[in-house]
Amino acid sequence: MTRKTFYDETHTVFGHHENKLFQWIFSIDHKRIAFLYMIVMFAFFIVALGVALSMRLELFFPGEQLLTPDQFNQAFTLHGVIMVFLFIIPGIPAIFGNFLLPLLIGAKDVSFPRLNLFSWWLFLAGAIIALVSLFVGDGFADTGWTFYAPYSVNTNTNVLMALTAAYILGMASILTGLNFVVTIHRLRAPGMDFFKMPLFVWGLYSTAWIQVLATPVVGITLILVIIEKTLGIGIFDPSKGGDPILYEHLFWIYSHPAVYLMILPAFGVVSEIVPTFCRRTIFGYRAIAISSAMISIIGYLVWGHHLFSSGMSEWAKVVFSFLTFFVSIPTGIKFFDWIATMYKGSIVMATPMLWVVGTIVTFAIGGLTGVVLATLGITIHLHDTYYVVAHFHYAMLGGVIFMMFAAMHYWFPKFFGRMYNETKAKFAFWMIFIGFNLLWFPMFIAGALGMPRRYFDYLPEFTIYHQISGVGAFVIIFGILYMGYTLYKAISNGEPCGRNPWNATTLEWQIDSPPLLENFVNTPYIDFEPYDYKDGKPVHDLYDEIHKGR
Amino acid sequence: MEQHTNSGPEIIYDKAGNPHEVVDYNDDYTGAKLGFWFFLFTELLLFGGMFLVFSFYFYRFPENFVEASTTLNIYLGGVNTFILLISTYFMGMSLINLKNGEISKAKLKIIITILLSIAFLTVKYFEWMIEINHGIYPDSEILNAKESGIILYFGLYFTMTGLHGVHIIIGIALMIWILILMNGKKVTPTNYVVLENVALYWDLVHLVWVFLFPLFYIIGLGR
Amino acid sequence: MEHTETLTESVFIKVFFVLLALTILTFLQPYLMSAELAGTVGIQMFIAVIKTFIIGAYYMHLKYESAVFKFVVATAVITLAIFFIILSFDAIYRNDVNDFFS
Repeated sequence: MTRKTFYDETHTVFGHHENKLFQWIFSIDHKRIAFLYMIVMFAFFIVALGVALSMRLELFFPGEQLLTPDQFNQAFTLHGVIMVFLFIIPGIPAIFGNFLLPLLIGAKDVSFPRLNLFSWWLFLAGAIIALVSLFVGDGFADTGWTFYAPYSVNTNTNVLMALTAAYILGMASILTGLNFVVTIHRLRAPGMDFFKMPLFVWGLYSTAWIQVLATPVVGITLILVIIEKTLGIGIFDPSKGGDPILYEHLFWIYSHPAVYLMILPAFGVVSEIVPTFCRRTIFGYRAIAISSAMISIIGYLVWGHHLFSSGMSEWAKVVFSFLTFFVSIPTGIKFFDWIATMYKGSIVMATPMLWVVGTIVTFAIGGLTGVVLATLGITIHLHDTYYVVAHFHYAMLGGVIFMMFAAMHYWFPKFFGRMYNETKAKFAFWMIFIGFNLLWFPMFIAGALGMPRRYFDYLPEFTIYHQISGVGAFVIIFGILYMGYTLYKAISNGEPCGRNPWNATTLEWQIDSPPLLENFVNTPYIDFEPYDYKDGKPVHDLYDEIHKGR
Repeated sequence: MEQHTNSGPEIIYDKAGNPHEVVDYNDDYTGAKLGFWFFLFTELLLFGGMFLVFSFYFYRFPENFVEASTTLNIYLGGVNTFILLISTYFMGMSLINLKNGEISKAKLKIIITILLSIAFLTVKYFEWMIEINHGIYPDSEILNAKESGIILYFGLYFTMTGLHGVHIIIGIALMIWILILMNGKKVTPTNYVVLENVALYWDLVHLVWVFLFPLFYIIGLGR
Repeated sequence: MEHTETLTESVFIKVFFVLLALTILTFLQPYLMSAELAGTVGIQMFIAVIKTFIIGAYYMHLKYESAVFKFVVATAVITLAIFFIILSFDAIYRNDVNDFFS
């Protein structure tokens, strides 16, 4: 008897459809919605990679190569807007949160499935508006993804469209966060209190709070720029008494917590992978759980470190520097707990674990260089140089995206019921890891030597760094494409695997791969903590209890 | 395709044999309320951001702000304050009526709230026209010739009362929608979470005005 | 439905009259006290906060809700308050001379 999976049947918002496409784009099943996000996001990721490559090619030699100076400004704006708003912020929550959250807590779906679908449609609308703005009028915005006033008010490029797109994308993010918070509060399986939740759920919970509370602030900020551009009320216009630094404050009140939006689910993914491949309970479960909440909270307090050289008061700078040092502490707790879990564990170095080890290296560099930048004396020298660019790419690419790649390789068998070619996947990892460091590490040095960011041209003495980076760019993109190809082929040609190829303990592995439409035939009662291993094997097997009577 | 059948909540048992009810995501009163509260937080932070901007510039240009405030019509603003307060009374009472099964009374109170909201918008329209007829509107020649603090005050005045007005219009639309749902028996004395949430929304719209009014109008009073 | 309904019609009406009184007070306050601007703003905001608590507790039903609701509302409000507090460090000291460490 073959059970019908979620690929075979679905619930839709408008009733029954014969057309398969409609069954996907109107589906209110959280697993299908995860796929919808995945397709749009990966498409835009490739576009943004292409834009990045064009920038690296332009910068391979001093002088103008293939982009004019204005086009270069549009390129780094486009790269930033796509990567930040269309890829990394929705990122892990939109794909893996949507697919896995109900599974991890023993629920049949999220609290508001139709709202979930609506979030995706808003996301798609924002993406399309951003895309259209490339081709009309004066082309894509050239302000940087940060849209600083007053330039964003005065430029003739399509800033209004970009701001509208960003606002709509923000709404999508808010509704997803709202959905996840209520789901976690209301739909946990009976017996699962907060300190029995898997750590990925803790990560999603902390993230959802940020999505709900911080996003509206950038929402109103973008609206104010739109109003300023169209009506000229003067709040960011110095000639009318307005203050551009106020814009920066408002923008970063969201955008700094936004980076925690990016990393908290990613940390949650690592906390899922580490115990599975060390085959033992995670070290310091409570500490890791609480540290997610702490990062979320402290993350609201540090936005001013993006304004250190903009003209804030000295008092403000000292306060923000002090608070920024603080936020590294809960992150450090996570890192030490993961390493403690690995110590004397029997480690299986499968591809997901390889990615985790890689990201522990690269994110540590990203995080530590952030602390360097938080130091007031040094930051004056390093601000707006390639040092900053290297720092946030080590944190966002070497952190969030590497962890997303780890998640892809970890949950691939759950999504598709098949396994990918391990050798090819590991080869892709090494290509990406080597390419990544070739691409970004020279930038720390170039930045410290004075190479400014967002610059179209540079002095000849910086050429060698740009060229090493250029080579790295080719290597990493080759690696990413190779990884994508390996996984794509495995969807139809991969080795079929059982429901729990990794011998993991959390609930999503206690049901079939791929899951049924409503996940659990019977909801299990949870009276144990997650990651319960004994002698390297999971203690609890709930498969029969969940599928009794079917 | 499976249809969702309402065969009662799922009950599961723990090792000791105690029953536990599994929350059904299709029928979760507390979840619906909790979700709407989270939406209200986004409104709180949205308007909160605007109040951040207001406070920033008020601190910078206190005399200009007071001077500009004296030119606003306190009677019109005051009337609107009482209109809004009374409308929240009717909105809340309609929910109490509905819960008690008095559906026609509930509908009547919602209609009264709609009428009061339209009155609010009308008064606001007249207030705006006073300023606009004096040549004071965003980026006007007359306004741009004034001092920075006054330019910013009126920029914020139109933006914040405008944003607030948009939310009143949305509120009216929601109330009309609620009346339709009540007529179609989708909102009933036992299934009233949608009306409860709309009432919460209306209370938030009122709360914004509770802060907006003193900051724009009262600071110029009695000077 | 779970909890017992305790917001009665009479409580609701009493709360309305309290809010009405407070609103009238906001109009009278500048004439009752010849406070400086800071004092007026302070008292007006204080009255507004009191009204917020009353509206939140009764009209918005928070007094009768479970602890989860109170917790999430408090979190949101405190977050907004934090933005005000930290931003004030720049707002107030922006034009001070930057000779902190000299």
